[in-house]
Amino acid sequence: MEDQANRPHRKAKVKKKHTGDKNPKAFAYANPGKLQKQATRSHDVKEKRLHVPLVDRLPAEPPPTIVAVVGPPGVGKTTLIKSLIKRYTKHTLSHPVGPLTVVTSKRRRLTFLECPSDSLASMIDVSKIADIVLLMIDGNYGFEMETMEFLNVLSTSGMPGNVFGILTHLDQFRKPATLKDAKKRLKHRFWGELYQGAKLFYLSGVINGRYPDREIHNLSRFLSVMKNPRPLVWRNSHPYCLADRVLDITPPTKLEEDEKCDRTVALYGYLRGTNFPAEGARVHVPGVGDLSVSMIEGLPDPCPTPFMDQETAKATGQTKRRRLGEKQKLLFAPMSDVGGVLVDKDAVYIDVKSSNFDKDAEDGQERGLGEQLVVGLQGERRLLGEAEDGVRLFSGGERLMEQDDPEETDNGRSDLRNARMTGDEVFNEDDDKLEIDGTADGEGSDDDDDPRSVSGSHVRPEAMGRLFKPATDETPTDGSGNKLDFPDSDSDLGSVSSVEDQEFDSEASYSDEDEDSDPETAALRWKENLADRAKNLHRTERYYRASDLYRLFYDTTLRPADVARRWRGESTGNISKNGGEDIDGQDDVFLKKSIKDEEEEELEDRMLPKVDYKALAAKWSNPDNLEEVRQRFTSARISSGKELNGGRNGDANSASGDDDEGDGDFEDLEDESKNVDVTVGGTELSLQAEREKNARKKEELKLRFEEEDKEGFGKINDKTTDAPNKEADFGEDDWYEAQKAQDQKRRDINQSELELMDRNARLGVEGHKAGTYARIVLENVPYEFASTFNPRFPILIGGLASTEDRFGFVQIRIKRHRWHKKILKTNDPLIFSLGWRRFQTLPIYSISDSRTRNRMLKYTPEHMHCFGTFYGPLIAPNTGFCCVQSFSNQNPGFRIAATGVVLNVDESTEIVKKLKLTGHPYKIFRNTAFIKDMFNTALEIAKFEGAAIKTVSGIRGQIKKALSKPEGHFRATFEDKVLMSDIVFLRAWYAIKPRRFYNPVTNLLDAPHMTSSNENVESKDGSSGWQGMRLTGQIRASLNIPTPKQKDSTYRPLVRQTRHFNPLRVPRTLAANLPFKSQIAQMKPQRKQTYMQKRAVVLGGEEKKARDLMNKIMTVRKDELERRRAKQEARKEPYRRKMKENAEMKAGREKREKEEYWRREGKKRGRGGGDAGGGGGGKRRKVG
Amino acid sequence: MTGTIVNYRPGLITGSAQGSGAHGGVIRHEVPAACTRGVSYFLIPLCLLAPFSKAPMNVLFSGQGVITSATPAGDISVDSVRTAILPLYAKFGILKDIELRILRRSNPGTRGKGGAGEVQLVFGHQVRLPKTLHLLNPGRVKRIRGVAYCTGVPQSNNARMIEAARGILNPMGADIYVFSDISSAPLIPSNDKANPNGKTKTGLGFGLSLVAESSTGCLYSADVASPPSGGAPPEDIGQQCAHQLLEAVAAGGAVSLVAAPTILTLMSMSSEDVGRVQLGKDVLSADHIIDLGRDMKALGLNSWGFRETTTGQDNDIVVSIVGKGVGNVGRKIA
Repeated sequence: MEDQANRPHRKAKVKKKHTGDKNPKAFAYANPGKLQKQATRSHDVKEKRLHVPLVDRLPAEPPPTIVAVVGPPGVGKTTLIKSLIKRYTKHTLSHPVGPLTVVTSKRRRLTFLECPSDSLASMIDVSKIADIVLLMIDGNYGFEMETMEFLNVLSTSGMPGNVFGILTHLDQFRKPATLKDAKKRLKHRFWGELYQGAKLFYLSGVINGRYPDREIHNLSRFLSVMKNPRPLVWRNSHPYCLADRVLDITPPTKLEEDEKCDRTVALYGYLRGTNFPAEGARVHVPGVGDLSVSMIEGLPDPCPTPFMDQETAKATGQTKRRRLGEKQKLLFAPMSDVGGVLVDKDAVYIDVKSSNFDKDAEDGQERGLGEQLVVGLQGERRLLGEAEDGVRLFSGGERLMEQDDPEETDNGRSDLRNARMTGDEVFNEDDDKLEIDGTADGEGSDDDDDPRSVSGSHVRPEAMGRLFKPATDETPTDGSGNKLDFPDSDSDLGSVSSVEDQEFDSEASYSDEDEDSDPETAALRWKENLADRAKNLHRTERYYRASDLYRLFYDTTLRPADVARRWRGESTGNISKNGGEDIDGQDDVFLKKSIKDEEEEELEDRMLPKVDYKALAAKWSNPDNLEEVRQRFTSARISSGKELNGGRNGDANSASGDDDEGDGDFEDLEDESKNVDVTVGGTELSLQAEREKNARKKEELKLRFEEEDKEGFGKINDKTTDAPNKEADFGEDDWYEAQKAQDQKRRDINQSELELMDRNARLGVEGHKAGTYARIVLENVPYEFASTFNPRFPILIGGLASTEDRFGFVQIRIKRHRWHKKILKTNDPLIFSLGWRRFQTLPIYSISDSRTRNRMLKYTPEHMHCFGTFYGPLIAPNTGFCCVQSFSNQNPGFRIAATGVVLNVDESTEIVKKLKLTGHPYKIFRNTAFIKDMFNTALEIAKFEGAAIKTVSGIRGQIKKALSKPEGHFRATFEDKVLMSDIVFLRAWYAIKPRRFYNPVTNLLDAPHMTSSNENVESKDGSSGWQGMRLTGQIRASLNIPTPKQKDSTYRPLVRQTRHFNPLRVPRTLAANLPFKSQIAQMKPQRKQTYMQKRAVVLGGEEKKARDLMNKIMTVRKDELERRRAKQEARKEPYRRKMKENAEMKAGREKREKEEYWRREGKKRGRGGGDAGGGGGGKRRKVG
Repeated sequence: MTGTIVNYRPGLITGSAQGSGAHGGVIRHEVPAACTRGVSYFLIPLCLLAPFSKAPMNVLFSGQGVITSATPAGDISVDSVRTAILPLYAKFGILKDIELRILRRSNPGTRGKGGAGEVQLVFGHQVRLPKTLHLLNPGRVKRIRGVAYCTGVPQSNNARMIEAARGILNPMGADIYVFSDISSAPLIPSNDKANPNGKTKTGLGFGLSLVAESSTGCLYSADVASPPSGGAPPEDIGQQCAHQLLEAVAAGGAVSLVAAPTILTLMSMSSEDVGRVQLGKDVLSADHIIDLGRDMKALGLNSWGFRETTTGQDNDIVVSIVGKGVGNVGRKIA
């Protein structure tokens, strides 16, 4: 034992003391490659964050964000809106209808919009405008078809980033565990639908008809911190507007003539998207059709944010504004009954709180807004202006006023009224009463003429200057007296307050100039004198002013030549509209033309004006003129006296200019300065002169430098906008930042440039800005729009780009939605939602045959994209769309039939379908055959001469020529001899044209009539009586017409003869002559008998008997078995019958039970909805 | 007086795509012999349409009415189109595959009618949306280029025109170079009964096109050609052309009268941002510019805003145009 020697332990490593300078381990790489991985990852993360930069056209004061509340019926949409309104404004609404705008923070407003769940068309419209979507889901029930349909529609119209799910009815779970499970399940389903981590809120129960305050508070907090989402391409390139107020302003006389005449409708709403053109805009109102805007007018914001209030206060200097109280200010919902006032399409309802209304009650008594207004009216207090100024609750102030004073001879305004905007209130120095008078135009005490007259005492000179600049240029055509017939007192005239009226009128007066017979001429006379007078006041610097130019330029009553002349401020004495010439200014002596010339020239459309070269030569022989133009050349000096200030500052010698050129300039410069020297002091070159010369040189160089240095002293940074040199400031990797900066720069320029213009010009140049509250008047709106108007359905006004008004063939890439039950058939009507429009059209599906042709498909492929072509509006490529087959709610399945994107628009299409012509040979030569049955005439054959044909067996050939004798027969050649039994094919392509069918979905015109807007009952059938084109099969089914059957189309039993092929016989002589390789190896028939053939088998006695016996036994047994089986069968038969009966009964019971279950389940929902006071009762369409 | 009503609805601009009037990718346009307008009368509007077409535009102008020179009817020469109009498109981001080939030159024929020249326009850059531009710095003229052309007349005419023009422009000190292009007169069949195969010369004459380029890339052009009646010495033509150029330069602005319609139209069509261009007052108040502005407005495009230059240049107005974003819808996506 003792000799056992264990292996000694390994010696412990002696730690080496490090020698002093540093610990080498601490500075070694622990994980090689880790840093690189980190860097890669951080870069990846950074890059993923980036998106293609889009120009954000949101103005500084954006329109209210649209929050759409979407969900199936009875899920609690109205309750949620009520709760949110209560949260934001402390108002309790009984029936929120239409868009409700609410101020939520200092610079932010929200417009709540309930999406009607019973109308897929409205859901599609809402998806096009919603900025934030609150997607309501019944937690107790699960996802329903409406939710899924909406999500899919939303994704085709460009998914706004902010979609929040809200689970309701969570109080109906009894056990916490099931609640938790349900929450989790729904959350994950929701995430799968949107993205991982999509925000989902939970609302438990309903208390006092509202959701719990805490939960609503959380939701509102989340809404208010929402950032502006990334702009969507479509909305960023089109103006649009969600109408929150609709007014039928058809003249009553027209209505008297014909009750069903086309209406004139005024729609009010915030403008969104791009700027709305000030004139002649074309719009599409989904559900109504394409319409022209006859007038658009910006109105004061009915629901301004506190920030905007401050801004106006700052601009006007008036802190106190006449407006409604704090409580009303926060909420703007003209279609709902806010403050006890409900503005309906034809009446105003005022909610009276108590049954015994006492007019003379004390003020302390609580009164609704409506009551206050009525009492105010009755008390002859002028509160009308108030109403107009603030929340424009009264639909037509005019109407009321017209009734006020029928004894007046006044005809009211003869021209358009402009809305008062904040900037113009600067001129309001009168008291408020007058202001009200001024705005409530055309009636009251101030209306002897128009409220446009100005009394000297009130008008400040600046205001005069601005206002009457237009008038100054104009020449009175009638030489009426010089005396101004100014009215005597202010009260006669009204006030200056409605400034725009005056401006407008002075413009309008231009158009009146021609017609002296105009009744207004007399009224205008004093104004013209006024103009003269004003001109006298402002005689100085009267010509070539840019500010005048806009008005003159677009005044179409003036001929262009007159515009130029007026602008130049030339002799205003004898301008006539008929082209009379006046004395030319000295500027254009050489451009002098006779009248005749001018007339000719107008016809001629010249690019180069006619020039009198003699005068020109005279002009340019004058050294002064030459010297002046020399300043426009690089050789010029900059620093001589007068050019020092105010000289041209073109940049002399751009950085891009080549060097030697610059040198040349420099030499030139020296030359000149030498010349100067010679003239100044040629005799002696004193020190003084030398210094002077050097100083000049220095000065010159400095100026040149400044010119070249673009951002130098006193320079405007002009070229920076889209100049590529800006990119130099950013590195190569900072492309994104460079783009952003460029974009910002562009916006700055836009803003600064537009701010320089006056209001009129600015409207013309950029249109109405997004964020303006505007009144849009549409002409020729169908009568049904007014008669079937229901505020539940959102009315959207979508601006159309110029190409979208044109029609042609649109090529799309389309895919059937995988949840849609059926594939789609070519030429079946399909409703597209493309751009603003919804329309029914007949698409033709096609697929690209190896890029050589577009082959028509009868049906869309099941799981693949294909092309489609239809006739419709030309919408820019890359626009997404979705399709439905019908908007009907009767359809139990998923209604979105297909989705896709526009590829191309065109005026023609190239879709072909395969066409096979068949023929039969009737005479065959070696490689030639005569073919019949393919064509009918020689003409047809002539068109196909040279075409390739083919037999069934694959022999290729060519059509040669028609035969003269039997019409329609032709000669063809083949690569081999064809058989008589072969069929000959000609494969051709037949061009298909899509039908020019375009049928806009006018569901707003066909909506079932509602008696009152506060009727919140959702209609039974799809909210729409609109019916599009039906399929032939549908019509046949509804009319009970049997499908006609053509005899040729029926299938006949195929009779195929068995073909008999004779054996190949080779003549003996031929066989003998064949080469050895091809010799037919034929065996000789056998002569000798085989062994078995030779022997015959004969059965012996015993064996024969045995066989016979066995045969008999087997026969008997077979018979026995057969009988036994038949017996068994007979015994089992009743049992089988019974089993079958049982199975039938069971199936019946199961079916019944299932129906019962779902009925119960559906009722449960209905009851829940009833509790919440919402609609409910819709058909449930659950997603599996 | 047939009572026929033609309803024309403009569709898409197809360009020289196969099947829509083009053969082999070229649209051939035969100008009738009675034409008195120069071919630039057709070219300039065509160039405006071309960026918005579906396919590249390739048009060959031929026939007995093609006049390549400046005409008494007030058209500029094709040389000016090539050197003073087409380069402007680059400012809008339209710069690739743009070419104007002058295959055969011709001055106006007798009584200013016809010419038998041949010009091919290739415009191969189709954009989705042109960029807008900011031309606020006219700069100073740094170089002058030009083309003197003569068809069917002695080439000494060219030299004499150049000489005369230089005589005026040289003192301005810019860098001047004028090319000389000599070509023989085009032949057209003569309507001579006695000699049915006979040909006659047409479009004889000479002319000068001058283009001044500023340091910021602004172009000013001038065009004068000999009148069809003849009798004008080349010295006069050269001088007139030089004077016209001085006049164009003196009119100020970053764009000359000839190019203004092109620039202003493209700005109106471009992206929905403010574009600015500085124009001379006389340029802006020219009749056809005012008409253009009004037509634009009538077409639904935005109107123009005007203001004085901030640098206080006395003779210029800054025109601001917000584009309408019309763009090219026909262009196919990949």
